[in-house]
Amino acid sequence: MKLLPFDYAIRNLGRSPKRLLLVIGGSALVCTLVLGSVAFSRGMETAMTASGLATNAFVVGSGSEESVERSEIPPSTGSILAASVDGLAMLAGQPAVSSEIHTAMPVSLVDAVSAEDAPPVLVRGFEPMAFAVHPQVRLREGRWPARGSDEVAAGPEALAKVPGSALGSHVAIAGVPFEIVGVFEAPGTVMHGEFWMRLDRLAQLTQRTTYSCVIAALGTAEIGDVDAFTSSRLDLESIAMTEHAYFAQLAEFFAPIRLLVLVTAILISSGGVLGGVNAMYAAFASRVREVGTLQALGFSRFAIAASLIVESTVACVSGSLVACVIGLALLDGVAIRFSMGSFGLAVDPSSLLAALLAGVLLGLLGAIPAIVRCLTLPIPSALRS
Amino acid sequence: MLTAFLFALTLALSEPPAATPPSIPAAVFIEAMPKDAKSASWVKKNTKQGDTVVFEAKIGGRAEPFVKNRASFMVADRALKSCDEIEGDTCGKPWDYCCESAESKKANMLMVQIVDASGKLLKCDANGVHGLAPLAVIVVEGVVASVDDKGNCTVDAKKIWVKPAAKKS
Amino acid sequence: MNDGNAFIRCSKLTKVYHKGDQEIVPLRDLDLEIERGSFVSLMGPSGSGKTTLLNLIAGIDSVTSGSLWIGDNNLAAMSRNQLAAWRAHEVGIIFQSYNLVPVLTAYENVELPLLLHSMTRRERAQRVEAALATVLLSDRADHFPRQLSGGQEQRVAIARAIVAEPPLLLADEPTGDLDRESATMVLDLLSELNRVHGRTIVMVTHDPAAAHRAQIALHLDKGQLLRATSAGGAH
Repeated sequence: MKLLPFDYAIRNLGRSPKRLLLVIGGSALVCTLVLGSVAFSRGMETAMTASGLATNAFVVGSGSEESVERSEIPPSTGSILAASVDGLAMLAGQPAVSSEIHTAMPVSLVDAVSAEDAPPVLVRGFEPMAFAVHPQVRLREGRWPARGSDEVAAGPEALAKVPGSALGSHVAIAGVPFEIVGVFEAPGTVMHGEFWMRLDRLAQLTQRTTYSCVIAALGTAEIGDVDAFTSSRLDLESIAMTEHAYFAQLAEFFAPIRLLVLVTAILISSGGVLGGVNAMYAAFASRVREVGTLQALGFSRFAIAASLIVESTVACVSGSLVACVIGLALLDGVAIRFSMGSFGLAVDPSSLLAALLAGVLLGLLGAIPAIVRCLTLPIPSALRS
Repeated sequence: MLTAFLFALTLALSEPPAATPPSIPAAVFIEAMPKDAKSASWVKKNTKQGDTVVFEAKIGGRAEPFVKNRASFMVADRALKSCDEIEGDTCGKPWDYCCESAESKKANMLMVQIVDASGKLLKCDANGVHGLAPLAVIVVEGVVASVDDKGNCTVDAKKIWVKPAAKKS
Repeated sequence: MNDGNAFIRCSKLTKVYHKGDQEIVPLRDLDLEIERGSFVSLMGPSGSGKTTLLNLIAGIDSVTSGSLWIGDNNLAAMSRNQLAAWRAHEVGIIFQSYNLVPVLTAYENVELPLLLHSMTRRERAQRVEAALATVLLSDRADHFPRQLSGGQEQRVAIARAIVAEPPLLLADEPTGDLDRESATMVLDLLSELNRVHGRTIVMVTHDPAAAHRAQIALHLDKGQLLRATSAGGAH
């Protein structure tokens, strides 16, 4: 099969700079949205992965495997687990077992005008052993809340969710003022966007007699040991999995949302698609006679279609390269906050590749209407046009 | 000298012998059904740690009755109806006894485990071994490892008879 | 198989178009023979079927019925792809509006048909340079069509038509858009290609002066051959 020279396709791009800009612009818009939605998905996935350690056992109430916030287990679960499973990691002579409450609550500044509209933020009740099972967490400023006190520590993204809040300011959680006595960070994890208060205070505040979960650092024990323990303890009505598995499952649970974001991006970008395809169609349609001439010279329809596709694809991929630059410069790391915490858009190789593939796909699909128009016309009609 | 060198080289290059993965000893599974089997709920109510017991039960009680990588699984008293025994039920995991109340499940279920000579739980899957599967009816001969008044009970199985699948009821 | 001696042989050649419900028959039962190496002009009023006949001979339009042999090839029996391959090797076409590709230089335009042949870049270069020399445009090789006059563009188009050395040249009103001086130059070139290089040329024209360059003028009307006259062109 003899093809037209690559130069022919490339030089054709320069015939109408305005049309070329339209095509590149349309493609850039579409690819930026695709890149953004994949970066959203990847960011969420990365945060979920980083938030859960494979070396931690995660014990929640059976039936609440998909949401720790709904989970309820007896407060004694942690101590029974610590006493029953051999080989758990130890800290200061104690098994590294952290009992926690996770709950989303509206948080606003104490003197905020409309506390009713306060966004829900995840508040975690913790005991000092939490630091043994969450090594990602580091105190940046201030100190950790004291037991029984009306004090909280906050992750940077949690502060961002409550405008005006900072170290030393007071926030209202469920109507009760709490002083922010510390700022901690846990970059790349959902904890980066949480408020932490002492477990007893949060249990009192929420009037709970149960905890949400127990997290244990496995040490030389295996998840099977913890699983066997929770299975044999019918009274605790709990199940065990690795913390990593919990968050992986959570990431699965959010898959429809991620898909929705992608579909929405595609729908929004359909304007860009139509604009780009239309410009490409107009560019090709003005060359019907030229295409007829090439056919008359003996070039096959396949060779001409291939050249048109190359031309369209080069233009659209240029748009996707623009999208990649925009993504790296403006989107990478942008924080997305939701009730569970927060995560940053991840403009990683996957999202860049998705943008490039979107460009290639756009180029291929965008050329089809023009190819149909140019190549279905009989050669004599094409030569007359 | 050369022979010694080659021998040493062979030793150095040869892979260390792989550790045999733990498995449930075949002797645990018996062909003849033990007689005078009690029910699982009877075991929970009438035994103490160290008692030898023989009881009949059905594997199930939750969505994943087998503990992964451990020779341990949950069984239910045969008096309880698994979802497949309920007419018209289309439950995807009929062994989870989802139609039973939590209290009823707590009173009628116990854990069966297979331990090694030192009393440690075997680190291998029991699911699929010698006919062990969700909803399989079994008769266990073993020793009560733990039992309490909170509804927990674990039996170390010494012998297990698995009812042939075709005759499962 | 073509059993006659003629290079181009039509027998009961008919072409029918459909435009909505309307049936248009630009050629009806045309019988015609053209000898190898001849220079023939097709003349006739608009709608007489001369361009349709040229398109059929060029293999860019399909025969409705009858037969059309060119050399040993029965064009009426060939598929679209076979016709494309045949065109690449057997026919050079010269259009009234030159139809050069605007983004390619004169050299690249002339080189286009050679891309359909298996030859090295050096062989292509030799052929292109020779073709441009034939049309006296060696010094315009790097020019784009927009940088050439109409006459020069048509000479580049002629170079493109002859570069693959096809035995048959077809020209559709080749001087229609040219001034007298350029038209003369183009017609001189065609005469030379016929006389010196032995190419068979079929040219559609309205211009009696152009037709005079051919050896035979075929007059068509209403899709049928009205008469064949000997023109002034010398062999």
